[in-house]
Amino acid sequence: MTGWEWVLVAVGGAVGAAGRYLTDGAVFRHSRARTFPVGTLLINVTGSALLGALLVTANKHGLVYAGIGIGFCGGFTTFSTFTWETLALAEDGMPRAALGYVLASLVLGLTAAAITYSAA
Amino acid sequence: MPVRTQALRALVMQLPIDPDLDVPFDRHDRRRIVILVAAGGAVGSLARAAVAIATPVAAHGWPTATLTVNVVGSALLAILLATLHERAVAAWWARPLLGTGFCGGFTTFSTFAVEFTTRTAQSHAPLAFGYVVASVVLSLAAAVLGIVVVRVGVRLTDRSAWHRRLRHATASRTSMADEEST
Repeated sequence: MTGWEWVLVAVGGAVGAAGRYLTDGAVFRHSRARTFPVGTLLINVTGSALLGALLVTANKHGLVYAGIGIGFCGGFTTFSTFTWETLALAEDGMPRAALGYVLASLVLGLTAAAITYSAA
Repeated sequence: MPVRTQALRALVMQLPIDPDLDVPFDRHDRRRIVILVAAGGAVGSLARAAVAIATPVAAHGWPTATLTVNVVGSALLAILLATLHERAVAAWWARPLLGTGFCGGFTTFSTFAVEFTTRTAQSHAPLAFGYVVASVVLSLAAAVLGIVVVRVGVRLTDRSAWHRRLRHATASRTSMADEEST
């Protein structure tokens, strides 16, 4: 990676992470779900869809892919929170919600990426 | 202590299911938290890119780099949140900077999803499904391990609990000796 690509990864990652925090809060305020992590689910599905569409730029437009693909999409989506939420649901006596959350994230996230990837 | 700091401290002590979800008390707190999240996200993303470069993966091979960051990042977040919870740590900045920011930026769901897609598209379906199962199972296992290590560590280093246990053990041994002698 070139120097500018590293800079864009950092900037994209900062914007993505801040965007995740703000989106999660906004989803929480506007949804009725109080335990099911709708915000992270929405974030991971939309971020996966965006990266699927962007993958064609990986070799042609290095700067775009570094900033939006590696930086923004990577910083916006999260696997650690997904893992934690699954454990928290299970530990709080909601094992079926935990399983549903894992399945929903996988099915919706992977399908979203597949659709945009094949369309791009 | 200012009321706002107290409120923020109360905030990090209760662990909601969604660790990215703080409900800030005023615009000033919200701005400070967003800056911390952004800083952590920048460093986490750089670290993720560095791991990707250090661990070259064939276009349709086993995605070691992403698997590593996701498993390690899940363990780190679990260790962080369990420590904040068990020790009732009052560092209000820790969760936004290290948890939501760093761990969130370090780990990635989008690359994970796209790696699955490209491998199934190239008819490497068994590898792709194995990758999904490995990512979920290993991340959950690493996070559980992290939480257990923190909880055991807290019990071991908690002196009052240690003394309670010691007294309890001594008391039961004494009563056993009493029963034997009678």
